[in-house]
Amino acid sequence: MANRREALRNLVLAAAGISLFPACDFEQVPIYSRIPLAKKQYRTLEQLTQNLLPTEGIPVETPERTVDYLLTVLNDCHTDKDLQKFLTGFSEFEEYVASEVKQKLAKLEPAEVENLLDYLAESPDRSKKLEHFYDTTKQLTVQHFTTSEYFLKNYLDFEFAPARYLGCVDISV
Amino acid sequence: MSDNNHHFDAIVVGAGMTGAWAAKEFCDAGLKTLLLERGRDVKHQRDYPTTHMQPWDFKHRGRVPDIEKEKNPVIHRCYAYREDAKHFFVKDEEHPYVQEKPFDWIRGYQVGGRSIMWARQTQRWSEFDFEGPARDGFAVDWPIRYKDIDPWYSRVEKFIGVSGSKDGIDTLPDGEFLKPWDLNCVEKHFQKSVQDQFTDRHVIYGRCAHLTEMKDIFKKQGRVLCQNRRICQRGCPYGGYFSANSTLIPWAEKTGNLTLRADSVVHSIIYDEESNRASGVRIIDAHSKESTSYFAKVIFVNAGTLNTNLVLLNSTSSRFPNGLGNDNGLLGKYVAFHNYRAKITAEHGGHSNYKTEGTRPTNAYIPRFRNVYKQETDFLRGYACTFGASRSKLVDADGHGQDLMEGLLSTKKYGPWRVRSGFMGETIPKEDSTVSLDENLKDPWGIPQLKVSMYHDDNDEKMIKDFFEQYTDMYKKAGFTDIKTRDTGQAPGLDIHEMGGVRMGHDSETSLLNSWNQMHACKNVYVTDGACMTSVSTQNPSLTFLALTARAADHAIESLKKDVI
Repeated sequence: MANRREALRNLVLAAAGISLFPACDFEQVPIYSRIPLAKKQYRTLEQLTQNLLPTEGIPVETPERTVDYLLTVLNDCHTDKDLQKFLTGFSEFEEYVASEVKQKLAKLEPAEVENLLDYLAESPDRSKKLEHFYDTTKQLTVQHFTTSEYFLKNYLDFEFAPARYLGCVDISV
Repeated sequence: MSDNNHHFDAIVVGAGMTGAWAAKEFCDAGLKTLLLERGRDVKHQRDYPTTHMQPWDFKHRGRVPDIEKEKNPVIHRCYAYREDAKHFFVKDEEHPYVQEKPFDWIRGYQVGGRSIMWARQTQRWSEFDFEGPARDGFAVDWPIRYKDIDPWYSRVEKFIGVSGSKDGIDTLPDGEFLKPWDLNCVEKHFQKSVQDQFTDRHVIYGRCAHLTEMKDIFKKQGRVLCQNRRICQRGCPYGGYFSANSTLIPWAEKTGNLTLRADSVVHSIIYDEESNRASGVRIIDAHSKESTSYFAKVIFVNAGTLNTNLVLLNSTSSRFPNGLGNDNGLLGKYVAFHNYRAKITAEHGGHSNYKTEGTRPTNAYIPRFRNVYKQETDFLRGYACTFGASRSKLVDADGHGQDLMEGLLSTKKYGPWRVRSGFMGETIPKEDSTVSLDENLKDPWGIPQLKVSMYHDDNDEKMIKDFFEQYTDMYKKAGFTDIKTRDTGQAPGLDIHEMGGVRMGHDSETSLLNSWNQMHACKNVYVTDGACMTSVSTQNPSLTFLALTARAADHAIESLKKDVI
């Protein structure tokens, strides 16, 4: 009986835990050998890729999340020099968010997101490394989307094995 | 292994395109044949790991990591060295060589060699090409003419399948063609413009080794039609294009006469002083590094142009202290290549209501028109070119957030047609254009490293200048705009058309091989890959290598029957 009471108590506590800490993030995030990121930083990048190119409501399916594509390409393909430039730019981005935005990216209103992205994309005040960070993140985010099955098939008429070549197709009709 | 397992009727060194062809011919003739390959085995279909992968399946979407590029600066410059096919290319660091002058040596060490990743363009040579050296006074006269090789071109084309159109042009003889794909409307527009304004210039369909029609012979080979995937470099599970792996090796294996030994690095050809013949081949196991010898009545050396030179240079004996058959000291000299440095691009504003649909593994082709009938410029010989036209949809990737997404999802309109040509210049084989053995450096198998010394000369520079002038004029006359010329400045080698060093000729004083590709000084050794070439002309050379191989193999088979080699 005592065991049963204890079990029930634990169940209640666990349920309370769930309701008291709904935003707790227990999910492991991937580790990239050349990019030492804390989970929080990973989430920041994840949110930034989503803000840069919001895919809600679009039936795009890819083998990996955009942030993982970004980090995989950076980790596996980029030189040490390029990677360092990106990471320094990322640190500057984090500092800017901490000092100027003062909120987690996920909690920003759409207008605030817009302002932040405007700053990253166009501000004359941004450093070269911040510019590199933004350009690289955007380029790989866009590339992830435009090489997806959804985009290639629906927008670029991609066919894996077309078995034909028509050299003169009228598109005016 | 018993002694019997080391004796064959024929040994072929190198399981690339020409070696596999020779092996097929020998096996068909009932000869027990050993086909040696320094690289790993690659079985048709089984060993094409990326062939069914979609673009989005690639972890890096085709990109090769910069770190790998830094380690392999030569191979990464090859257009086909991408994530989907990089496993078929030799890594610089694993197979070192010495660049006395810059030379990008693009290699594929595996069964099938570079026939897996080749560009599959198959244009015949003409009489103008074979008579070139004699007429223009360079290298030495070819010991054969077009009529000698014409039937062998036909034999090869019928077996491998070549898509082409009958053009009736004397500079590029017609062959045994399967139907062509379309030229697109802009390519046809350029074709007409050139036809209207030049009597000596022709824009034709680029002939290619793809199956566009089914024939019994292809069914017997187990191949099906090309599916227009344009990812041939990964290996084609359909056998839609010709490769040694899809076509020749399975055919030879079916005869029961083939022994294929992969991972066998050929060290040298063994010369028997008593019989004045080569008796066999010494190999080093690629992994165990153990040395073994195999013996045969006839030996074909088809290791790929530069490696064939290397094997022969390394085949020393008291009779041939400077390399097999090298009495005249010409082995390794007069190597040449195709000059691929020049490009031209432009925009075409017309045909805006038209697009292409599907894909096609070839382009248009413009055969050589310079110095064909007489010397007319301040440089020798001439150049052929590719011509291609295409248009893509405009993708708007400006902005960020919803604007960016809306821009991407508005992808609908086509951009203008873009046109482009790549130049393929004939270079002149010269005595100081050489490959030789380094005196000190060895490869991981204890074989001397090859030292390469080739270069672009003044003739090449003049030819590039002429190409820019002539093609700018042709492009302008076709109404193209935004014309841009570009000299890539690339070193020899990236053309992947290196040739010569063991050239054919009339006599043993000035050449290494006779008109049947036999070594003058060692009659049971034949060389039929690119090393045998006396000059290089402008055409993609593989079809000519194959035709020479077919002709030489037939000669060897007949000579064996008559017991004269």
